[in-house]
Amino acid sequence: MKIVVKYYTVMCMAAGYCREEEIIFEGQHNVYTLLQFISEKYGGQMKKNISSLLKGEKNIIWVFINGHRIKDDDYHLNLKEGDVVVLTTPLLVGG
Amino acid sequence: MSKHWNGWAGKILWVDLKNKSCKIETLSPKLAYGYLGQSGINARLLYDLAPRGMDPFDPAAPLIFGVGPLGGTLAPCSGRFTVTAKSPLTGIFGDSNCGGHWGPELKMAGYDHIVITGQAEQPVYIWIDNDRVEIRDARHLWGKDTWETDAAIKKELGDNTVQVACIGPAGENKVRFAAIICNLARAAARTGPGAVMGSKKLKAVAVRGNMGVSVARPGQFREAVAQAVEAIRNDPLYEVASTFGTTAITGLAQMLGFLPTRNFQQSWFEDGEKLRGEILLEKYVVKHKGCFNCPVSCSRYYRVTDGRFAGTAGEGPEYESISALGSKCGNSNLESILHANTLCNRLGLDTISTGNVIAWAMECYQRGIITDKDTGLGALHWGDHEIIVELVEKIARRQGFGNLLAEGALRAARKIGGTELVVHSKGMDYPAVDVRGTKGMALSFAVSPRGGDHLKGLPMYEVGPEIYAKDIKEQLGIEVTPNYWLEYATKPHLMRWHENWHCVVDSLGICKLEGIALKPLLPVHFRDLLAAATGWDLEVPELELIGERIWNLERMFIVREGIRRRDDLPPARMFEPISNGPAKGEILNLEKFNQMLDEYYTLRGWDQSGVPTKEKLLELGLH
Ligand code: SF4
Repeated sequence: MKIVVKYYTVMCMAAGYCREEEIIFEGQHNVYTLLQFISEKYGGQMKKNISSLLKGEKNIIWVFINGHRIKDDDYHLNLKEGDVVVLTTPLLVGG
Repeated sequence: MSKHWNGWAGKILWVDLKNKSCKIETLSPKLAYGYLGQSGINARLLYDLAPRGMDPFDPAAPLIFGVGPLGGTLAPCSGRFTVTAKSPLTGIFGDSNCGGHWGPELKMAGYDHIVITGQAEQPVYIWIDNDRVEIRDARHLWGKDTWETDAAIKKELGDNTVQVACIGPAGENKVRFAAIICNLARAAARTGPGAVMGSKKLKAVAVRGNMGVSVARPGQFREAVAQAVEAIRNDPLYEVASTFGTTAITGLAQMLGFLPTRNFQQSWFEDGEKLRGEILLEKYVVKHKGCFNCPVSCSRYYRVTDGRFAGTAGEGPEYESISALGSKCGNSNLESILHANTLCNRLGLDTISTGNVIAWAMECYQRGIITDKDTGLGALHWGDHEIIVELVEKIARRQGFGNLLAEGALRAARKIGGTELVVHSKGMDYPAVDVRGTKGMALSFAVSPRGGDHLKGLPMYEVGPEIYAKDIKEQLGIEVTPNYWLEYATKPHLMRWHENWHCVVDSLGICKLEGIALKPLLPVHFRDLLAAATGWDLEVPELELIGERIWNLERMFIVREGIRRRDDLPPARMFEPISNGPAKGEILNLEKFNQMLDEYYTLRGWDQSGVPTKEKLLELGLH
């Protein structure tokens, strides 16, 4: 199963400025296991960000699947071939 | 015995350029307690000094600089000042808020406001060295860009720490959206105050102040400052703001589908990924920068090292500039955007109106309203970054086709056609949000006293509803839903609250990025900072009432100029469905928008034509 993951703002920095990548999985995976995979892959700040996201400590990471924001308790949601997952921080407006 | 002021410096400097005379007046308590300072007092002064119908370029028209009672103090993000004048772009109320270090310097020189009237016979600049004020010859500076002017004045005065607010060629040529620039990149740009300055033949205002700012209760003030700084540092978005500044928005705007593209014909840019703040940070940012006493330092210094734009350096650009000179013009060449941004700062142009007028011209070209012959530059194709850069220069110098564009999109369209393609409110171009998907923002842009504007009523609660849900409930009693931005209901209530508090923040002198009256700084922070700085104890509702008074005063200014309900409607394009991207199909519904407007007017205590009622004015002491 091929998933496209896009990283924005601090998540992009935590992924070493990777803005987008394809992740290929064997078998069934859900959002939770994808986040764990990314956490292990990048470690460091990414691990911290994902850990606080999963613990619901600071509501600063938004997860979108195919353009729809998932709710905080939807990490068990199964992923399917071609899904686009976005990891970002909330909107800041100004300028 | 004259009053000893704390927080406020207690003085207004009046300069008459025609007679080359200055006088210093004591700040009246009525002004300070009625309108707080900075943008609030500026607005009152403009209301009193610029009668209905006055031409913004009339020599008698006032150009007003103001700093708030927290400006130049230890309060975080207190480096702001506001320039207020009748707008040459819109012909109605104009003001522009600016960061950097100039505002605090003025305060430390002992002034809260400068009111400049008259027109000099020859170019001049004003030199304020604490209580010594001189009007100096600036003939040798005329024609120089803002960077050259800044350097020349510092050299001439033999002091590299002097703060200079100046205009470039755009202001000299009265380009209707010309900016006043300080610290090389900080701009008072929207509504075109640089053109008013140019019309007065005033090249710069240089300030040196070392008198400090006294506060009423130093211990209490330190405590209030510590709490405000803690709130800023604990904000979940602190890291994003201090790392990316507003450029963090670019990728998200694209992802959510509100990135204006090709003059708002689309809301998603197929090459939008190339404009992301993350790329800017990785490839071009060499250091971070901040305004006076700012714990966030959201600004960034960039440098382009190779390619066509090698050697380009500067500060910014903000999200708004990236969109204006980028996606709105179909331009995905980030280096050209950095170059155009630097050019705008050096020539003294508002990046938003500059990008918008070029985007409008490109759409006119696309639709055959203008041809190669009209432009004198050949084709105006979307995304042609060379032509964009060339047009920036031509607009500032009013050369050829640039002379038409220097009038702003609406005036230019009235001359050659294409008025229906101008995306504006009251003559000022829309910022970089497609409001078809954000209904409160649509209302905000529509009713702002200075026209299409994201900063007078910036509804942060609307676009980040979940992280702010608790605050929205506490402050306004509104329960939000995940797609709150798409709803019409509750938005008039939300906007009224935001607008009132933005008036307070802009009048105290705190930066909007942190002081947006919700997060991280809340109304109680402003109340506490003001009380400790000035010794004036107010309750939160009393402070909001002052904000409401300022908002109504600004409304009265534009009502006096003939603005009514018909002018509070979004432009035609916002009533067409979004044509592409994640927000495809989103549209403003005219009937629902009118219902929002009805409710907004009622909540405001205005009649249904948008005029504040006598009762409301009486209640606010504005009769
Ligand atoms: S947050 Fe940014 S714009 Fe605001 S005062 Fe700080 S550096 Fe200036």
